[in-house]
Amino acid sequence: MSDWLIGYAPLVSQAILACGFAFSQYIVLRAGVFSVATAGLASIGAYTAALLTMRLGFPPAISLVASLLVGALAGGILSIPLARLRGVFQAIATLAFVQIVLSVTLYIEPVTGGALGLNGIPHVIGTWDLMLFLAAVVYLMLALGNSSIGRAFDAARQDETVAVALGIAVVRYHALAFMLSGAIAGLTGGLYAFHRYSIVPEQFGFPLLVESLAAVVLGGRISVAGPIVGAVMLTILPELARGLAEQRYLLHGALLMVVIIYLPGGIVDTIKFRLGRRASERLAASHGGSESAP
Amino acid sequence: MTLLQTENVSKRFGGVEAVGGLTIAIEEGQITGLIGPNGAGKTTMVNLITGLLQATAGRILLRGEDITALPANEVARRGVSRTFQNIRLLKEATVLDNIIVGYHIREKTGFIDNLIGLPAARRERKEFSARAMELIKRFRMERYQDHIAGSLSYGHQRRVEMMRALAMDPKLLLLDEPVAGMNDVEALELGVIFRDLAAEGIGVLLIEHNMRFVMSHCEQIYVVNAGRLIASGTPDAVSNDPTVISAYLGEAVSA
Repeated sequence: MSDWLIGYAPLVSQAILACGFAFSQYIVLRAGVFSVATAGLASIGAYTAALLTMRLGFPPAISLVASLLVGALAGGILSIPLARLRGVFQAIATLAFVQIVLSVTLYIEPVTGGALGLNGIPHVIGTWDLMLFLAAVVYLMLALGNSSIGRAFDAARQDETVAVALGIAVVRYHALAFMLSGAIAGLTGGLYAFHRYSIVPEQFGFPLLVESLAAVVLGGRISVAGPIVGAVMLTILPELARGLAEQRYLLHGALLMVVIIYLPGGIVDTIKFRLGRRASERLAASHGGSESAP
Repeated sequence: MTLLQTENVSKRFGGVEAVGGLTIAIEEGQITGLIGPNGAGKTTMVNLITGLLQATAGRILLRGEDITALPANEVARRGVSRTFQNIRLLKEATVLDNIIVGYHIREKTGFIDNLIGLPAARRERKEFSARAMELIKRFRMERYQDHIAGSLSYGHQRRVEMMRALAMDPKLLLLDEPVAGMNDVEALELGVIFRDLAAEGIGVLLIEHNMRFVMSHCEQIYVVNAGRLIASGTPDAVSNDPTVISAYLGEAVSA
């Protein structure tokens, strides 16, 4: 087990970080918010953590807590102007947010190091730490998903009108989803910084946005297992297809298209939904005959 | 006692006046009917009362409290629940989960309990499940509790929606065409439940096209046409009112 881990540690770490970003994306989508702000929030977290430790000498643990809090705060602030927007307009506004963060990190060179980024960040986060982090996030997602917050998220996502008619303060739950997304993205960004030695603004740009969104679309946006399946597949696939060199992105795109067309709910949710429907039909069949439904 | 009173409530959509100065009262423990031809503004009225739409003029009072400008979730918190004309369930969720989401405003566990999955939050869910099961029994839907709501037949989906509305433990229940598409036996079954609810003290507003159903269940009926009240009173008075007859059947052609 430990030999195996050492051999694959870089890949496992990469997959876990991808899971973190995917969960940040997942939580907003679950609440019915089409935000793609994860990459920008992750950037804020990563720079917060790295700068606090490198420039101000904070212990990494404190810096990581700060990256989580700053991410949550950024998400909360972002939710205020976006409260009136829905669907694709939220996506465009949050895409703009990612671009703004990218520009700011590029241009405030004295603080962020500009395009060269920050280098020589202490490497204090190993694969085991990341595993602990993933376990904590998964636990939080499961606990939250089965709680009244998860029920409110599900209602807001499926039918906002029904949600408010049931007394659910949808705007507040959307803000909460933004904050949770920011907290997870910020902390994942901080872990990324302490794991990778260096960060540059472009790492938190459009490609990360697409990768986080793709992981959730691919894996599923309701079950907690969805983002993990998606993120792990998107991490491993380019490695398996290394022989295809540049064409491996073609494979990446083709896989996404196939999933969107044939498994519109994502791999995990589509399978779950079909199994559920089949069980439902079996139930109906076993009661059958006794009553003709109107 | 008057539970809900609207005073000259109006709603304009651009140049169209969907509701033009409606004054109606819904009493506690009674079934009040709201009838009228298609496009008369009945559903608009429900949307105004529940806060999904904001009135252009007039006031809406719930037990004397002005709720005209409150957002929908705040109106719901004050005990107003509804069903929708075009059934709106959480289609991906099971029947039981659809009802449990109705308990949202009755939740007592704190935010942190729910965020990190403390036992209190789980206990509360269990308690809601048990209460939902009672509702399921009342509506005779035991065999469907684990079905995906979207896979049920039309009549059963309506029942799920009513159970969800009742989960909120409402003071005022607005039913937007609850027996549409049901046969007489099924409608009668639901009629018994509505009467029981009224007997428990809930004020029920019934919007329905099935005239026989309305006439046999309502104590008080309001008839609207083109957004205006054209008649009100007991079922007998309303059904003999010439304006009502002409609104429904058209004017007599004078030869």
